[in-house]
Amino acid sequence: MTGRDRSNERLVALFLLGLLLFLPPLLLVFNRPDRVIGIPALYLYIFVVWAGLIALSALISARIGREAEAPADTAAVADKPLEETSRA
Amino acid sequence: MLSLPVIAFVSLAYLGILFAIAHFGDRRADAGRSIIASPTVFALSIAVYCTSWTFYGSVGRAASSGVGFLPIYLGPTLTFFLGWIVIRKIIRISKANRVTSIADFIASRYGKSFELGILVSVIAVVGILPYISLQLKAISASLSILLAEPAASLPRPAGGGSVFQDIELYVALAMAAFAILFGARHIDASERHEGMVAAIAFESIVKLLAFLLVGVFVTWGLYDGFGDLFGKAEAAGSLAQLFVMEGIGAQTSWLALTGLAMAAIVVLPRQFQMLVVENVDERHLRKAIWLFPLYLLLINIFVLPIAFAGLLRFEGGAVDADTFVLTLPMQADAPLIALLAFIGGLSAATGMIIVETVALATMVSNDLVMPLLLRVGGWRLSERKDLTGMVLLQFAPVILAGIYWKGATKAGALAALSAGFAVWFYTLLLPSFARSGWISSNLIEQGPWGLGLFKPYALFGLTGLDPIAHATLWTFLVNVGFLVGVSLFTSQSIIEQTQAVQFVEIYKSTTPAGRVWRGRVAKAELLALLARFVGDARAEAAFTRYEQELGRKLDRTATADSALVALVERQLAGAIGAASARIMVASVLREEMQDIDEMRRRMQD
Repeated sequence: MTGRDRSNERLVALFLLGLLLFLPPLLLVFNRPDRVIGIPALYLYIFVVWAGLIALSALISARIGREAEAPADTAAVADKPLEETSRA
Repeated sequence: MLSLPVIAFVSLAYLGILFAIAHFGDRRADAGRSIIASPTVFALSIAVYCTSWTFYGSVGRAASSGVGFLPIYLGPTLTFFLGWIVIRKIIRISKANRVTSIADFIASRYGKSFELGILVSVIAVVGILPYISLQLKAISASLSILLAEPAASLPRPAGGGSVFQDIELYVALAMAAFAILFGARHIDASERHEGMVAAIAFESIVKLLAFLLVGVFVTWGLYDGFGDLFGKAEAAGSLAQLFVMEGIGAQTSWLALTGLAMAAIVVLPRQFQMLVVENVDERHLRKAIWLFPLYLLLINIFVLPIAFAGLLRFEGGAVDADTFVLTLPMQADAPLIALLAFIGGLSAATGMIIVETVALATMVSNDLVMPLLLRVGGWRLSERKDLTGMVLLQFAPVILAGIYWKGATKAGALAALSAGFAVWFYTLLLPSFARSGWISSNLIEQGPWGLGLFKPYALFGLTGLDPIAHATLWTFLVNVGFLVGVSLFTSQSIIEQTQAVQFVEIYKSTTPAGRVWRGRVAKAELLALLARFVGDARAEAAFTRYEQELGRKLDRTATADSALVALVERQLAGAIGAASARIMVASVLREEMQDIDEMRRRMQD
């Protein structure tokens, strides 16, 4: 299994995690009238999860970048734009 | 407070900067030193997603439904996590086929079908035009707020005097000038509009900073941070109900909006334009998958605080919540912040108008007007008001099936879009006519001819959903149902098969798109055809490039080989769209592709 496939798997998993966390029924766990550190629970939950998911996507993105830069990697060759590979 | 000359001067200065940036971007592009070849600019340009609806409307929605506005931004966030996989594939395919618009993309996938190109263009124009006029309205309404005094007794935006209608006209003219200068400038539509992209990226920065400024001013200037603000809202009693989502209706609309927004971020014409057509390098997506969601998060942080501050300070709904972004700073006697907020709203509106106009214009000229000029005559676009862009979202299944399922046929795509359009018309548009009194409201209450089963807001007895969620559900069911069902029971022509394989297996193929053309044509004739659409210089340059790659001079009078024909077709597709390019190439070849299809059909019989 190449690194590229793993990155794609991680992104799909992140997407599914996001669906799970942002939609009912899990969302409704935090659908309560009380406030946590002064902020309504539901608002805090959504924004914290949102920021967390973005952080994870940035990590995965950085990893894709490192793999693309790795020389003599088959994944990196496939990554090149179409015109370059076809001209080569 | 603020006077009209001051506001006019600042607005004109802002638009002037916009033109200057676009001009500079185009100059640099011509010099081969692009200023938009950066992942950050790419991510910012996608933020054209945030229109004046985001800038003013989110607060209004938050004031009535709490978190109800967030799915519009959570959906695209989720889509972008998959962007590296799905959007990159769409970009790769589009570059190989020199796709110029979303209509072109769909038409090209399903056998370069000009019927599909027309259908998609018509749906897009019908769905989007009202939104463009809404953006103009937002500009004039915000201006009327800014000029109103005293601030304490701000009225809801009135219908607008003549001066405000004039403003709408001036802004529309300025936008038209911008679109012509920086949008329609290039004959080859697949060439990027670098100046426009640079200007849009700049607008995205302006609207984000303006909104953050208002948010910080409200949260820490008028109150003592988030805790203080939400605490006062809780103490006020009735506002605390906005802390939670109430009822099943709120949950279903949460689901529906998330799904709609997930599709919208790719299939709205302006998004497709920025994401795919204007994309410089698909590797820029790598950074955008987190940077664009981060932008969405930042521009939404202060929506709820502003909404609550507005509700606390303007009791009894004396001021429209859609205007809180402007009215809060004005009431607190901070005209400078109000002015900057106005500029932010202006940038959000103008960005949308510019990109949407350019995207629609490309689509209309390449996929609507060109094929009609070439093939059939007499088509009139009827103008409609009060529509919702939801109808565009049914492009999503056709695109997704198009890039992952080879079996999706043109007949399936046509059936899906037509049936989905019909359902949308019946479940959303027709009842809106009834509600505005154009037709009898019996339709909503009792159903057509008293048939309760067919009530447009409760089709087949499905109740408990709000109208948008209801229409979304039925439109998608019918759309996907027809796409899959019809595709499974119809067959593809040869050109459809070729395109289907090429789209689905884009990562496998190393040769550029193209299909073997049978038929004979002299090279000089092909050159003349190309020159008619892209100009002599460009056509000659394309041939020279081809000769260089081949490593030898071509005999211009000899018959062209299929590779050269495919090259010309691709060049033409970039200028006039895939469906039109195919027709033009077929017209100069002695033998048309349809003949091959017919031959195959005869052999099968």
